[in-house]
Amino acid sequence: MKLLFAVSDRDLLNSYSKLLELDGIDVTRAFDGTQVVMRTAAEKFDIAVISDSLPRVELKELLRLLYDEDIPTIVITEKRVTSDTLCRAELACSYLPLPFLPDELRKAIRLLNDKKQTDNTFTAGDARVDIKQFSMNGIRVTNEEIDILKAVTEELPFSVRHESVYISALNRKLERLHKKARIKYIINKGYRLVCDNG
Amino acid sequence: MDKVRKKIVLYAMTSIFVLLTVLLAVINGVNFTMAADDADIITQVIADRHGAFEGGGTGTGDYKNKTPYHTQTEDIPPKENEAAGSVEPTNKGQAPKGMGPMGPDSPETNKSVRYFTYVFDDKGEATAVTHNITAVDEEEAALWAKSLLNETTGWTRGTYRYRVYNFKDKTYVTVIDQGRELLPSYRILIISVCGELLGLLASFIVLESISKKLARPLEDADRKQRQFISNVEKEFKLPLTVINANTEIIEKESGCTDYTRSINRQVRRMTSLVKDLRALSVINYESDNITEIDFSEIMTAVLDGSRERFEQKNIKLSMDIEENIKVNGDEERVRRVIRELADNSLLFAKTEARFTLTRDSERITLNQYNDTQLSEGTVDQVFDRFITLENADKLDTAGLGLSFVKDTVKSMGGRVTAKVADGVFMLTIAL
Repeated sequence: MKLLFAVSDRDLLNSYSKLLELDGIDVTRAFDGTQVVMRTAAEKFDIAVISDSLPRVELKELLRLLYDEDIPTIVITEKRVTSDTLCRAELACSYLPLPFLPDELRKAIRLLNDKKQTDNTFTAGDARVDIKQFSMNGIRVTNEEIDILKAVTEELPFSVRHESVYISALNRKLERLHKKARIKYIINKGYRLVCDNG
Repeated sequence: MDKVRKKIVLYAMTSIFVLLTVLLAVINGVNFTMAADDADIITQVIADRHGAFEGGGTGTGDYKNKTPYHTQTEDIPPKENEAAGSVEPTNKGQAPKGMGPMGPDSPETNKSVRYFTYVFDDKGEATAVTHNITAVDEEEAALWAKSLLNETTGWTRGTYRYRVYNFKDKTYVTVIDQGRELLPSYRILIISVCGELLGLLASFIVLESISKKLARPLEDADRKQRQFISNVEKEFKLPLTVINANTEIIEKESGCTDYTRSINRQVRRMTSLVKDLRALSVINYESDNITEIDFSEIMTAVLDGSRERFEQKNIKLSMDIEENIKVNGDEERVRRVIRELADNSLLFAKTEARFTLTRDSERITLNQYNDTQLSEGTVDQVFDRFITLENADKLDTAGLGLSFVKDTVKSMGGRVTAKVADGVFMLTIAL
């Protein structure tokens, strides 16, 4: 797997690049936005991990570039991830707030890579979810949101950290798409995708 | 005016109000008691003389027939006046204690005391003994005196002091007008009330102007604490993430040792603490995501989702949640509040945890109960940052969860309290 790892803090960059290399991943390093642009132009990556505070190029532009290159992206952020963050059209496939453990980064990379390999789509209510493209009726959905949508559609349990943030964001996205389905909690059953009128 | 200043002004004003009210109530109470005592001395003297000062008044004797006034005191032996209405003779011929120049033998007394005395026979027929008052005519005085027959002594019609006493099977009613004597007392009362109001106004003006200065140290301390929490969270998270990675690299390249495992444990613990701090520092900022949320559904979801963890710890979880209770708030924070309550129960409950959510016409109440080893009383300090009360050293908790709960509930305009009674820890959120 070829991975672009871009953070401005040298220690973080070196440590995690090394760690991921020890895991057998081919890591390309970048410490500012310009380098991300250059590396992306020069090479094809499977996944990108970038910080939301990279200097020189705005995050939005970088995410657009990576989206156009069809590279699923994990954003490392110092900020709290809220449903607002997820609803903004920032095109990230996953957010990883600092501080995180190496296993959390590994898991995020693995899940994104798995989704990238699949051609599956599924229907959540009357919305169509494209797993590979991380989209629901053309709207970007994150890795965690896809997992939740799939679980609630198939009535399976799921384990996502801060699931309320993702559920709240998903409900807002469903509303934006004018869909009647909403994710609600049913006692003794868990979260289910139900019609808004019950 | 911000919250701390408001509180300072409110508490100080309440204290000043209570203090002034008590002080002025005592002063005026004593003043009126002394006025009553003075009046009682006069009525006592009149009672000793069976209805009139020596020298007599201007009563008509039989008010119905308008007969000329006559005093009956000459026919009555002074020592025989048995006290049926608490009449006790004073030293005759001397000015009673407290009367000064207004003594009963003073030639001025008869002129200055406005009073009337009526005597009632066993058939209830009234005869005027003395009628030395112009404000009340004799017919009215007789009826008035009759209405007091079953009393002993006291105030009537505001400023009139009366005394009822018996002699030779007859009942005497003496009523004296103390209006003029009470005037200074009323003036003092009015001045006191005005003084208190002016004092409160002046105190408010002074407190309002100095409260900023008074509140500054408290606000500074609070701001510094929040700033510190925010800084710790910001400054620690990056190094911790790097240390996490570096420890793993060392382990992969040189193998695991007790030391690397220890670093891992401690770093994980600190990572968890920093995540808690992040949640707490978020409270500093106004949420821009306030919507109407289904409190009942959120509470049910979070608690039902925690059921497995309760079962693993052999804690019986029960909940009684009224449906469709909606509140305005930040959904993520509210979820976190319920999660913190569940975590709190998981940490401290011995065998049982119970949650209820109810709504009445005025408020929404959430109660969390669990059995506890804590001693009885209020335990509001559990809401302080970094405070844990029970087995704190043995538990992996930073003592920030309930502080988050308090701050969130406060930001929603609610109140949270905690107490221990009969071995049960009870936390109440009122919204």
